[in-house]
Amino acid sequence: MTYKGNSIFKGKFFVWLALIILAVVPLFSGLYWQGILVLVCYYAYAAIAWNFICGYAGTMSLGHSVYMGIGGYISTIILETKGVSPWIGMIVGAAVAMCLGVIISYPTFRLKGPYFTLSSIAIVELLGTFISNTESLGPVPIKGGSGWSLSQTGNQAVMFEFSSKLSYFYIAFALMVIGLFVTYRMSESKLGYYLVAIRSDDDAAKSLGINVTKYKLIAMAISCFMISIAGTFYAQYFRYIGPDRIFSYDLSVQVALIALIGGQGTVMGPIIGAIILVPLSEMLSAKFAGQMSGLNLFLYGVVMMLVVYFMPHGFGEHVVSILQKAEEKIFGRIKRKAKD
Amino acid sequence: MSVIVKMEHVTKQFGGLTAVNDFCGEIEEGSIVGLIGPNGAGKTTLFNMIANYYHPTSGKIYFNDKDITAAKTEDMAKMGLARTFQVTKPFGDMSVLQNIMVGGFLHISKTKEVEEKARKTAELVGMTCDLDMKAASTTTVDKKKLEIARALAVEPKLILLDEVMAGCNPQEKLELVDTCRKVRDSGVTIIIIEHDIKTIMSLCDKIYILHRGEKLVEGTPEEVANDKRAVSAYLGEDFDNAENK
Repeated sequence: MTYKGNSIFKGKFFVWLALIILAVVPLFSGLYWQGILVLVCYYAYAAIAWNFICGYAGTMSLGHSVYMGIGGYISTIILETKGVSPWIGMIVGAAVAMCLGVIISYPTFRLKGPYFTLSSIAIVELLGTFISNTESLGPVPIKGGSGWSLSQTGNQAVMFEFSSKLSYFYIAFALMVIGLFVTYRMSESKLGYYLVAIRSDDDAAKSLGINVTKYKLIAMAISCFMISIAGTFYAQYFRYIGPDRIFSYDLSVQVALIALIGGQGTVMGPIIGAIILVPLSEMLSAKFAGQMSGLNLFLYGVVMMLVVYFMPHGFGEHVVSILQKAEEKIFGRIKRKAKD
Repeated sequence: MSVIVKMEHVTKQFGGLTAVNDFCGEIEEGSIVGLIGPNGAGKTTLFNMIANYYHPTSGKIYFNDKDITAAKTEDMAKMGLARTFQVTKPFGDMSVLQNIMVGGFLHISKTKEVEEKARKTAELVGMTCDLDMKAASTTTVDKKKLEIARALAVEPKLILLDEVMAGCNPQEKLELVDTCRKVRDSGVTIIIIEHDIKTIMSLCDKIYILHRGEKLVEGTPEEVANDKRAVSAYLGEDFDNAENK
């Protein structure tokens, strides 16, 4: 749905309705569903950040969790050693992740297609191994493979610690809505047009005066900033951060898949992907946790294959076009009635 | 009239192959200049050097009296030079209008203004299709026109058209000739590569014939048509007869 002029949000009514429903549901649901919805928003936000550069400019990164790890580790380390609020640590981490993203991407953006992807995997593996095997970096403790368990101090909003899941949900939800808004503004601006042009054909883009590296780096910086905040959220929500999960290829792929299945390079894609995939994976793993463990991954894989086969551009397009049609029907009828 | 492009002893070698050899030429502002010659004569290579897609092995190229021999591709648009590609390269995921808008963002950042301007550009080149259509699914002529419109959106002083009429039927060629004239009348100099001799003879103010990487003949269409070397190397003996019929 990226093609039609200013109409990415033409199904606005239902988009807002869906967001409002998502915001209200946890108020009435049990802890189990609240937990799932926190994950939906968290993954949606991470996928939005990934989509910002990888979806729009088509630079397929499978190592984006590196920047999540940087954000999570920095906020956690300065919280645990200096007692600095994670709200501040979050911004510090994001700034570092942004700089690191630009430094790493400047040389790797020269690599095309699969070679860029390979380099991104190499970086996540490299950093993961480094963190796992480093107890401290000079005066800074890293704690190696065991990771950090965050100390519990109770319900303190200033310290990004809450006793109810609901609070975490609304933080993740707010992040997601902000991410959505930023992506929407970007897609309607010069940067958005330039990134899609670069994705389609970078020679043609250059001939129109687009400095390909510059615009990709700008998008990368914003993307790293955003995804790093997801890392801080992760650490605060689970009260634990370790290299095996966050500096992993698995998490990177998971985030990328959500955006890809939902529809890469679209505003709504990552959210739609998360709404479908996260509950699916949670429910499947709960269902087959006891007897046939592993079957959940098998079924998850089957669903993915079906989506890729039947909807190569992702779910998003279809969902959005159905919503738009529904909206036209309903509001068209109301308008006609008003005229009569 | 002033000279907009000046080429001095331009040579390009790919390994052992000399694609363009010691080419000298001047393009006057406000004219339509044709580059013709058999396949492999070096027309597109010369084009790519002016657009700084390749850099010459030796020689100098000046654009508006500025040495651009070693400039970057992406800086050319800002200097006022735009090009189209022989094999059209539309941004397939975008609409026709959005394709043109990408060019327009070079000078304006407000999306609304860029859109308005893009609509005018589309009108100038005579795009007849739905502007909201996906660029990948338009017809060949519309893709060619889109290439021109997108290039024009960067507000160039000079536009390089690489075989824009290839693959079009006679009617469509007439439309494109008309488009080229309109573009020239709006103040843009044109260099065009074309195989259809009749079209190029009627359209151009000046013609260069390239042959095996070298400049064979240059001159007005009449001069070129009457040149023995041009006739034997490229235009063919039938050309005179065809003209006289």
